[in-house]
Formats: sequence, structure tokens, C-alpha cells
Amino acid sequence: MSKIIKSTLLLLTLIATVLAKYPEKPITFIVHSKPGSAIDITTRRLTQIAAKHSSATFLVENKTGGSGIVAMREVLSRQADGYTVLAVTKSFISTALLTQGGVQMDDFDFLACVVIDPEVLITNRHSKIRTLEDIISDALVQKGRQKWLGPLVGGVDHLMALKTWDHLGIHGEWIPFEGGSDALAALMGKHGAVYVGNPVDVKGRPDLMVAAVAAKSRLSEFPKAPTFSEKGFGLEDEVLWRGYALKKGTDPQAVIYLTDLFKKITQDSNWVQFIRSTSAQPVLLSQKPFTAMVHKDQEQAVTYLQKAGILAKGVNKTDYSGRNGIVSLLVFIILAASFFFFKREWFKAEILIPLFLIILSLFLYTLTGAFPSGKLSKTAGPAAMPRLWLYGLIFFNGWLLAQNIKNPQQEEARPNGRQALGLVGVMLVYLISLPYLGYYISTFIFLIVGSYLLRYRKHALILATAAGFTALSYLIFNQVLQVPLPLGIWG
Amino acid sequence: MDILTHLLSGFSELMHWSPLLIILAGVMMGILVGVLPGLSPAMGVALLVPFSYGMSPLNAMILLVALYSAANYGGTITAIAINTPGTPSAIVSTFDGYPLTKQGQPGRALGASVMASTVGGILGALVLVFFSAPLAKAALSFGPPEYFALAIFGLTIISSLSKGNYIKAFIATLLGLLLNTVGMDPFTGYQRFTFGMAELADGFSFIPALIGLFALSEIFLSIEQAPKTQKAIKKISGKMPSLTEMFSMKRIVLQSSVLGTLIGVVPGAGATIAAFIAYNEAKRASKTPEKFGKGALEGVAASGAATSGSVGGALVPLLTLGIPGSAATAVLIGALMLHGLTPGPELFKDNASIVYGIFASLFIAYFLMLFLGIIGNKIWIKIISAPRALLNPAILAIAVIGSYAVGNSMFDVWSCLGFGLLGWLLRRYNFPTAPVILGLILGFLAETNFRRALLMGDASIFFTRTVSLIMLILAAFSLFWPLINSYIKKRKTKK
Repeated sequence: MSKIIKSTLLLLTLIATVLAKYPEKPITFIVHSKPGSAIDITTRRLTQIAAKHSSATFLVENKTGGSGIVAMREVLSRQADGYTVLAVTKSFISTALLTQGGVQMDDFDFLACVVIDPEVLITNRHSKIRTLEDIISDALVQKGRQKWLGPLVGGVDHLMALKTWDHLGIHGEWIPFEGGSDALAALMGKHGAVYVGNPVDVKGRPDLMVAAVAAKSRLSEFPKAPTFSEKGFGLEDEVLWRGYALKKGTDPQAVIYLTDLFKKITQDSNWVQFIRSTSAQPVLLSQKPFTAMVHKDQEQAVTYLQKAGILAKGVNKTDYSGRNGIVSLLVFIILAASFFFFKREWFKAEILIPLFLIILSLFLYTLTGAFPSGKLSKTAGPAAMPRLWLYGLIFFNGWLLAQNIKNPQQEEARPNGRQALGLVGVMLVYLISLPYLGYYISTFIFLIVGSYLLRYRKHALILATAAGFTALSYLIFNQVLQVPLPLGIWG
Repeated sequence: MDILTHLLSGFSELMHWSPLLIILAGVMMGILVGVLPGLSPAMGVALLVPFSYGMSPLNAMILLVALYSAANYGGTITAIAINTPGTPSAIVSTFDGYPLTKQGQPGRALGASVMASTVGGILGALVLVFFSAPLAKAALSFGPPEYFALAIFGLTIISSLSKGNYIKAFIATLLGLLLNTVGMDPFTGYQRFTFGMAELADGFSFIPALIGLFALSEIFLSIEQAPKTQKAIKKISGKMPSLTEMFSMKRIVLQSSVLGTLIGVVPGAGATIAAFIAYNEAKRASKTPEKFGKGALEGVAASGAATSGSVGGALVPLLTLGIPGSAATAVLIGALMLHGLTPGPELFKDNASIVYGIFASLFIAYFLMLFLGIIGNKIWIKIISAPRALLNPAILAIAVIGSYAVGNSMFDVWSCLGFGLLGWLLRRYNFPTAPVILGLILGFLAETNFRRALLMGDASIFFTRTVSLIMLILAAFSLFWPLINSYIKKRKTKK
């Protein structure tokens, strides 16, 4: 009996899948960086053009954090139904390799690569080091102290630098900045010698010049800049790419639809014009060549990151953080309890807060022992600053503790502590229910409950405020600013 | 003279109804984005970029620049009215603005803020028009050692935020600095103190921390201390500060505007650091420094003038070098490129009409901002006059929506609540919360530039470079200023 039901159900779902026509819901593009970044602008432009060629609606959502790991996880946490597309760039390879985030490039289907941007070496026109020859000869003199500027360690640009050093037979010092533009500013201020980037970085900055291009032939915009291969170095196919991916195993119907859509977009003259305006090249690599490129880049990334000592080769330090944490907490509880039983006048916040902070600092200090010394940071590693702050916390809290023991202070009267705690409790329930009930309903309820809790009894006014607030937030966020708020089960 | 004729033609291009309406819309959106915590000026600009595709390049840019110029002011409104800084730089406006509101004088604080912001913005725009080229050159000389020195200089401000208890202020600063180290180490990619949480890979988001430490903690604390029934603040006065009162603060407003503009020029320093430093200097210049932190109108004016001044400043490296001086200007670069314009010196040559059109639009935007601000203050006074029992839950809901909007993530909302409870606990036991924010802002600047400078040379690099050395000496002076000051006063009274 149950077999029949099961097979009928299966048949029904099959029919439903065939009948359901993709796309019947809005298609969301997930972007890993802030609004206004290169990939964000590219994606927003892409969705605008996509709307011309498709009846579907397109949304762009920014899920920032962890150089893309948060966005990757977000896509993997959603259904593989084709309604969530991830904007990907070459930098995701480093992110997947370097963050202990458990996400791999192979978790995705690489649908289409739409932009490639050749890698170039950029120098300051007014400095002594301008051409590729200058870079090489100066690097040999400086013996590994030549300053190369760029963003994050282990990122795309750093990898390109490592590769370049390998091919040119030189060594440099990678000086990481918060972002590309900060590094460019440092190059313009002559705080370093070379910047690894793309042609767009030189546009509108006459103080900078392209020293070498990692492409097969010279770029039409920079006819004077030589290629690496002209100078006898084998770097001729280095690009930064941007494209779009889906969660692995996405519904084939959606894959076919989107593949066709990307084809139409990349042929649109508006798109071509837009990409050209950013000095990049519009392309269309379909799933197979795109995936092959990702794999090739990943292999190279692993090699160079291991060579530079950034990616450890399977060394696992034992993690003591859990054990140390429990021990520290126990120490604090035992001390607090002994105050309670033997020295009641010490059992109060003035004493317990500094004591807690001291024990917390000691616990965190034990964690810094596991921080890497860092090949790049010969003088001050990742543990240096946290330790300095921890020393400071221990010192000043010790001082405060001594002071408070010597001169005990009176606590102020707080008549309404329970009401405040009650409000915290209501807020906890509100936040827990928000992802399920959605923003609007849970906020409406929260406002009403909150006002009643604060002993306000004008019912009509409470209802009107709650309704007005909810309606206003819908108007501002959904209508004017177009920032989607969570809808929970209603979404 | 050349500049003046260009500027005049810039004005004449804007004197049609459509550009004027666009600027008005931009200013209104800017104030709205500023008022809403969680929506930073940068996000506001980014949200408007898609709308600007269809416009002419000049119209698109004046829209975005108008939004950017008004957003920093917008943030100060909520900071003063409900102790919720709408933008990071508006934290400083809470120091004296909110006490004034609690004393029933929100009109004075809001009025002083909009007037000082207008003066600051216009001075910043003037600097942008006339001195952008030499200033941009000077900004480039800021290397890692100088940024480190700037961060140290900024940290010395804790001595004026301490409210009497230095030890607790130091502990609060160190907590901020330590919280700042959570997340990926920028130099090695190592995850520090994240306990395996991917959401912490970039550390705590700044805006939720800000909202939590200020707005949430204030609500919890005020409920706890209040009598059983919640009533509105008594006798709210919407009275604006008089012009003579404003004029008496001319020195502080001018000084803060110039400081804000100059600090805004340095890429990466930004409006928040500008506001902190301007506040500190205003306190030092004031005849009544003891009123600061308890509702000094001068403090509100200093913060407003500096944050708005930094807008003109941040546009200097953007337009002359193509280097963004702030998060919002980074988005503006993207917008310029979308319209086929590449920022940099060539923009002045090839597209002078657009550059000077943008310049002219700034002046118009600030006058519209003043006008809208004065009208808007009346609405704000109404909102503040609402019963606290209605207002407090609504502020909590705004905090939630604001934290969520930062990165579309519930994690930020939870961390906002966490910071709210931390702030409550700290303030309950008389630890100031402003130094925590100072530590959060400056920790990253200090650490990365310290290590970067050491990669460039050895430790002597901080003392062999003139600018860095001068700033470190100033920092030492600034740290001990309260001590020196009280010593001088003691000697005077003895005599």
C-alpha cells in the first residue's frame, strides 16, 4: 500500500517539476562584497540587462564577510533550485583554501565566466623603478626587501606576485593593505615599488604606468607596455576572472535557462560597452571551459601558497581552546563562590567584573600561543597586538581590583531592574522568532508587547504606533531603498 | 581666477529645475539614510547608483554627491534625539547632544548640529575647490608610519572621554582594541579568537556594535533607573539656538570644520576619526571644558562641523587622484566609471564642466540641507516628545532593522544585542562606552600600520620620518594634557 502511495507521490512530483516552468520566482544574485564594489556594480548591471532578455525578476543581495566565505555558505545553505546565483571571482579560490570554513570550490557548478581582466605590473612613473628591467635589477640589489604593494595576503594579487617572482627569479616583500586602492595610494606616495593589478588601476592616474602585461599580446589601451613574453618570461595567460556559479546539482532546467540567458546578456551591446569601460574584456566561457580554468587556477594556487608557507601542509595543532575555556570559567566560579561563602563583602560587581576580565584575558592569552609566527611578519606577528592589549587589560584590571578592595563603593539604587531584564527577554524572543515569522509580523508583535511591558496602557495608541512603524519600515526599506527584509515562512 | 569662472559656469549649469530637484532629492535621501542606523552613507550611495544609470553623468553625480553630503549630517539627528548614532561618525554627537535632549533642549542641539554641519560642509567644499591639488599631494606622503602615529594620536583622546576615572577608561579602550582583533589577521589570514564561527571571519561589524553600545544600553539603563511608570521627558523645548549663540561658537565651528576637512583628505582616516579629534580639540579650546559630556552645545557643533567638513575632504583624493578617502567615495568611483568618467587629474582637463558642476552642487546641497534640517527638526521634536514606553520598543526595533541591513545577516542583529548588554553592564558600573568605540575604530588602523611599517623598515621608522615624529610628540602631549592643565591651574590658584 505504502509503496503505491510513494510511487504515486514520486510520479506527481515528477509531473509537477516538468509542469513548473523555471523561472516562476525572482532570481537572487548573491554578491560577496559591499554595494559599489567592482563585482557588485558588474552584477547589478548584469541583472538590469538580464531583465531585458527574460520575464523573470532579478534581485541582488550582498552577503559580505570572510572574503566571500559567508556568501558561499549562504548559497550552499539554500536549495539547489536555480533561484540563487553566486557571483564568483578568482579570489574565491584563495578564500576556500585559506579559511578554515569547510567550503570547497567543487561545491559549485561554474555556469558562466563573463569577464576577464589581464594581470599587469604597475609602477610609479616618477620613481627610479619604472620598467620590468628596473624591477628585476632593483630586486637583486635589495635582496628580497623590494616592496610589493597589494591587498590581502594569499589573495589573487599576492598569488600573481609569487608567481611573477618565481618566473623572474627574484624575491620581494609583500606589504598587504586593506584594499587595492589603499595600496595604489601607497604606490603613488612612493611607499613601495610595484603594484600587482589590472589595467583599470592605471586609468586616470597619470603618475602610474604599466610595467609589464601578463597577456599574449600588448593591450590596445597601453601600446607602450611590453608583455612578459616579449622580455622572455613565460607569463602570458594571467587573468582575473568574474563569473557566476550555482550550487552543485542544480535543477538542469534552470541550468539550461540561465546558460541561454548569459549567452544573450554577453551578446548585448550595452553589456559589451559597460565591461569595456572598466578596461576589462567581456567574454563568455561556458560551464566546461570555466570549470577547467577554475581547477587549473586552484592547482596553481595550492602550489604557490604552499611555497610561500601561507598554506600549511596538513599540520594540525591540537586545539586546547575548549579545555582552557572550561578551566578558566571554573577558576572564576570557584573564586566567586569562595567570596560568597567566606568573604561576602567581596561578592559584588565592583570586584567580580575586574576579576572576570583578568581571568578572561589570561584565557585569551593562552589562545595566542597557537597563532602562527607568520612568515611575512618577521617582527610583529598576529599575536603581538592582541597580547599587548591583554597585558594592558590584566594590568589595569588588577589596579582597579586593588583600588576597589581598598575603597569599597556604594552601589546605586536601581528601582526598575526587573522591567529592563523583562525587555531583554522579550527582545530575545523577538530575535529568535524573527527568521520564522518574518520581520513585519514579529516586529508588530514586539512593539505591542514591549509597550505593555513598560506599563503603557493606551491600547489604541500602542496599536497605532506598532502598525504605523511596521508600515513605515516596509515603505522605506522595501519600496524606497529596496533593501529586502526577511519574510520568514511567508517569503 | 580660472577656478572662479569654472565654478560660476558650474553654478549656471545647475540653475534649472531638474538639477535642483535632483539635488533636493539627493539631500532628502541622504538625511533619511543618515537617520537610519545601519544604512551608512556608502550604502546609501550604492543603493542610488542603479537609479543614476539613465541620467546624464552630471545629474547622476550631483544626485550621489548630494546624498553623500547630507548623510553624515542625518546621522547626527538620531544621535542627538535618541542616542542612536545613524552613521558611525555621529557617535561624537551623542556625547553632548543626547544630554541636551534629556535636559529638554533637543531644539538647541539639533539646531546647532544642522547649522554647524552646514558651515563645515561649505568650508570643506571651499577647500575642495581651491586647495585640492596641493592637499592631495600632501595626503600621499602619509605612509604606514604616519597612519600609525595618527592612530596613536587618536587613542590619546580617551583622556578627555574618561569622565574622571582613568583606569576604567583605559579598560574600556583596551576592550575595544581587543574586540577589534577578533577575525582574520590581515597579514597571515589566521582566524583570531573566532572559535570556528565563519561570521566572525571579518570581526564584529562596526555598526551593530555602535548601535548596541549606545542605543540599546541607554534604553536598558534608563528603564532600570526610571520610576515605575514611563513618561515622556518633561517640558521639551523645540527652541533653536539663537544666531548670537551660534556666532559665539565661531572659533570652535571653524576650527572643527578645518580639522574635519584635513583629516577627511587622508584616505582611510575618515569622518569618525575627524569627529573624535575635533571634539577633543574643541574641549581643549573651550572656556568651559567641564561642561563637555554633560550637554555642551560646543561639543555638538564641533562634531557636526567636522563630520560634514570631512565630506569635502574625502572628495579631494577621489577627484584629483582617483583614490577614495572613505567607503562612500569608493562607491562614487564606481559610479563615475559607470558613466565613462575616470577620476583623476585628467577629469579636470577633459570634463571640467562636470567637475565644477559637482563642486557647485555641493554648495547648493548644503543650503538645501540647512533648510530641510530646520524644517525636519520640528518633526524630530514631535517624535522625542512621544512617551518613552512607545519610543523605547520602537528604537529597539530600529536597532534590529539597522543591524540587519548592514550585511543582511541575523548574526549582526545578535551581536548588536550582545553589545547592548555589554554596554549596559559597563555603564551600570561607570565604565564609559565611548572609549570602546574608539578602540574598535583605531585598533585596526594602529595594528595594520604598525606591522606594515615594520615590514618596510625597523622600529626607528616611526621616529625618523618628520610627520610621524611630530604626530607622536603631539600624541604624548595630548595624553598628558589634562595632567598638565590641572598642574597649571593648581599653580595659579596657589599664587
